[in-house]
Amino acid sequence: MGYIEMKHSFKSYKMGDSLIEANKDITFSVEKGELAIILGSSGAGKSTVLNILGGMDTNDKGDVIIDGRNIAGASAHELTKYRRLDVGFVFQFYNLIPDLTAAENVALAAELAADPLPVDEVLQDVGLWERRDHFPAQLSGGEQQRVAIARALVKHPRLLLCDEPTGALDYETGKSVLRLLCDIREKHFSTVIIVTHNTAIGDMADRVVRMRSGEVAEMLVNDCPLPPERIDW
Amino acid sequence: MTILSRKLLRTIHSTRGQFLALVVIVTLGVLLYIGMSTTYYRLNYSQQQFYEQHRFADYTFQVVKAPESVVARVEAVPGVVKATGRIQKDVPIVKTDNQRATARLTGYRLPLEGEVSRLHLLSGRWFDADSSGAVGVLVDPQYAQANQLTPGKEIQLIAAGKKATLTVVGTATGPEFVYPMKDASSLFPEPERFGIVMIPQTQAQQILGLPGQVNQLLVDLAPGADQARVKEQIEAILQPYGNIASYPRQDQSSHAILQSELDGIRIVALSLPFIFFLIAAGIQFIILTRLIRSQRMPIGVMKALGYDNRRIMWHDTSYGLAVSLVGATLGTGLGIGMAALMSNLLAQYFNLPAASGGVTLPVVIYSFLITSLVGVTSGVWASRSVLGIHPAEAMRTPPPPSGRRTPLEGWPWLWERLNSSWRMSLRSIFRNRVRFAVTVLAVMCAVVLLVFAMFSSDATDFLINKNYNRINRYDYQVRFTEPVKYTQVLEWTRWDEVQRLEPLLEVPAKVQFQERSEDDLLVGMDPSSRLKQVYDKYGRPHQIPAQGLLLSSRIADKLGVKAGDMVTVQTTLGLGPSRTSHLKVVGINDPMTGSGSYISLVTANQLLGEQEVASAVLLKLDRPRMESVEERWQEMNRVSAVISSAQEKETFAKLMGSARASIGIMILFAVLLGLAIIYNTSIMTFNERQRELASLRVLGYSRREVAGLLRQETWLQALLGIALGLPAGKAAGAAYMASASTDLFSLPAIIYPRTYFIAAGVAFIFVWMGQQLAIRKVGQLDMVEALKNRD
Repeated sequence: MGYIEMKHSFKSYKMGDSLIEANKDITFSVEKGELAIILGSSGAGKSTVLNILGGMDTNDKGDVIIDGRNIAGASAHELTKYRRLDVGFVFQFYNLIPDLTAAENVALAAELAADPLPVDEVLQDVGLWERRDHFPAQLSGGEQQRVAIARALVKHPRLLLCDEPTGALDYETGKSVLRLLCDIREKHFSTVIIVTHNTAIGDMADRVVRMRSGEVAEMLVNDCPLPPERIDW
Repeated sequence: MTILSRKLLRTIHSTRGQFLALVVIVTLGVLLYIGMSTTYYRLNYSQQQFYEQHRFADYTFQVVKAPESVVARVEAVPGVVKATGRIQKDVPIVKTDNQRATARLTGYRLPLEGEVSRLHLLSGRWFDADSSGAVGVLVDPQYAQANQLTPGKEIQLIAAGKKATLTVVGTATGPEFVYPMKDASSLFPEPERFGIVMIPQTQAQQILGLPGQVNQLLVDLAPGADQARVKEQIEAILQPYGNIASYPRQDQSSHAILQSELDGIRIVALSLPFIFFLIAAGIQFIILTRLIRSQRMPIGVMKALGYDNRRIMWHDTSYGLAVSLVGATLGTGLGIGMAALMSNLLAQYFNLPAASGGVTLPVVIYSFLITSLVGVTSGVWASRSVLGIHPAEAMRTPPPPSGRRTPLEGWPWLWERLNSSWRMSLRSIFRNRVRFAVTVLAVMCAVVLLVFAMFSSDATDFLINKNYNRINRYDYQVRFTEPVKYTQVLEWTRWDEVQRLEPLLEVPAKVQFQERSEDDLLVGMDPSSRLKQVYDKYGRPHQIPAQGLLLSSRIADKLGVKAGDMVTVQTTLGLGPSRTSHLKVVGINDPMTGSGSYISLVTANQLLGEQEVASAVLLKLDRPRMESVEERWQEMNRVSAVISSAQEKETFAKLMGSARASIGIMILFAVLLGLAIIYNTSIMTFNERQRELASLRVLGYSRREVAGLLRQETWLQALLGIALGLPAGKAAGAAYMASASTDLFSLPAIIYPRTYFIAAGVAFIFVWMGQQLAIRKVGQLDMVEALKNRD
């Protein structure tokens, strides 16, 4: 049994009078410590999968098993606890708190965790120790994304979920962020899932789940993932 | 409907909670403005009309007695248009239950046409001009109502040592009786025990045993007449007849009280509504600023399409204008209702013929103009930021709002103790300084309103407590028709019920210093009195001097007298010759009510050239009220009035009860205002930080923790507002008291600690409720949506 298993998961939204079926019978699994990429174009339903895995949203039907525990049908309180202790999130637009410095943004997450990593160490890992006292408005996009990664990482989560982490970044910065994610996985043995529309990124993954129109079109296991430096887009 | 109007309606719909909260604030402001201003205009108009139609005297002169022929001599003084001579005297009434009341028996020359201070018939019929048959009298409506007197009923007076029975033919009032008070020492009207009895002059003279005599001259002066000169000339004419007192209209007690009430309404009408308007302007500004910021992209698109700045600014401003117009319309409707209710109540209270009804159009127009100005100003001010939006830039993702260090970070010992959520709240407050200031000030105003609503009852309660528990410690005050030897009443001390008896002698006198002269009432008492103590309005005790005069600050100020000065005292008691003495002022007393000038009983007797006489006695009995004793006094003709402290307290409690409704309304206004402010602030904080809060939810913060974060920021502002509002409320109360106090009545700005606690408690409730209304939104926070969309 996989570390993460989504089985026959369905999710639909009401949009005005019409019903949007975002996920239709999604089934896939990811092993512990893997770097998995969910690929798909806009509207393929990949972010919905990520939101359900992260406990930000719930599915209508099907199972979502994380480390042997089914979070489908968990209460709001249980999901809050799950997000608090088990998951780290990285967003396309960073979503940092503008009123907190880089270090404080990271500390904000650390305050919640049962066994957080030292804030300074994490900031050193993402290469931002010198900029620790800067506010988000004083940081570049790449730096803000590094803070966001540090914030996700400091909780020492079992699962790191990234939604288009390079979507708002230029090529060079995007690659450095991917490098960082790979390093983190190696150092902390976390399972990392990245959602992206950038097919090139798929080459660095252990596992690729390709989605189309709310369904899993293909699932590949990559025996020889490339380092981020060698991929191109 | 244009697309922009439709967009405006949709914006109003999507922010309906805030729109409604703003409308509530504007409505309350307009309601107060229209209600109070219309009441003021109507009562003021009614007062002016009433005074004019009934030719209210410009000056009143009081003499011991003078022949009617003196009236023609006074009328001949240049500057005098008309003089009316009449007889007026306070006499005891024996009521059907044998209780005593006081009648101010007032004679009127018939026909009334052309005379000064004429009567106004309210019900029944005029009295007959001739003196044959039963004597018909008119009484003031309050006395008639309190004593169930209807036409045909009889009243019995004791005058000139005889009983006289008079038949009531109706009720009437006059310009000097709009607020009938017995004397300056009365705290409030007591219609059960004091009434105006109006009667034809000849019959009054007959009853009082003063045929052909008058004791009052009412004078109508020509416009622009030199009052001081006219007064001097008339006083010279009246000098041989014992000129007791002369006072202009503004010192007449009924007018002074009505005027101070009108002034009070005017002050409230011109201040309170503007607090609401200013708060509305401030909050509108903040809401619009936030709306414009959140609509940066659509504004950029509109500009790209070719809309000019003016058009877009007008569109944003119309939100504020819509608030104003809806609020002004609702407020006008409610305000007109409030004005009708208030002016009728006050007109009744003041015996004024009903104030003319309807709408005071200028007030309505002003309120629409003022509120529109508020809406447009705040709208234009907020929408200035539209000018800085460039289309291309507006369509790109904006940078995060700039986080900044706060001055608090200069104190690491404090800053390092704060957790991230406090740091966020504090930085957010420092970033939104205008909003912070507006919220703090607005909460402060709501708290000021709360304190202001409750403080008058504290001040009155303080006055009553002081008056009955510390100043007047007697159970009864028994007053005599004329001063008696107190050896005659000392026998009362042998009555079983009487614990203590103290005589008192009141001497009406002119106090003169250098060129100036003022009428005063000097109260003569034993310096070791235990039944009456002298305290000033700040609660400081004064000793009644064994020798010399403790002078009231009102008279001292007018005369320019200081402690240590010598003054000349000329008695003006309507009995015996006037006597002149010199007294040293040993102290100045600033009383809450009444005369406030005291001398020793011995000095009072010396001033009158008498020995051991008293005009009243104070008594302490076994129990506060003893009917057995009251019955004995009712048999005595020389007793003019029996005043029971317990009964006065009861009457006062009733009066205070009726004031509770208006206090309740003020508290309701304050709560609505506070609720609207806190709701708006919380919603704005929520909207602005929605994304942040969603991020926190994703990080694993629970709903309660996120709601707590929002609460924290609002509480910081609310607590500061409350802390500032409590002392500011006291200051507002003091300012109001200072502007509304009269010669007769001056309340200290006393606020009990209890009131601060209640005001703070009520404020905590509205803060909590306002937050609850806004915080419901945290439950609806959609993490996925909030994080997906860039503002």
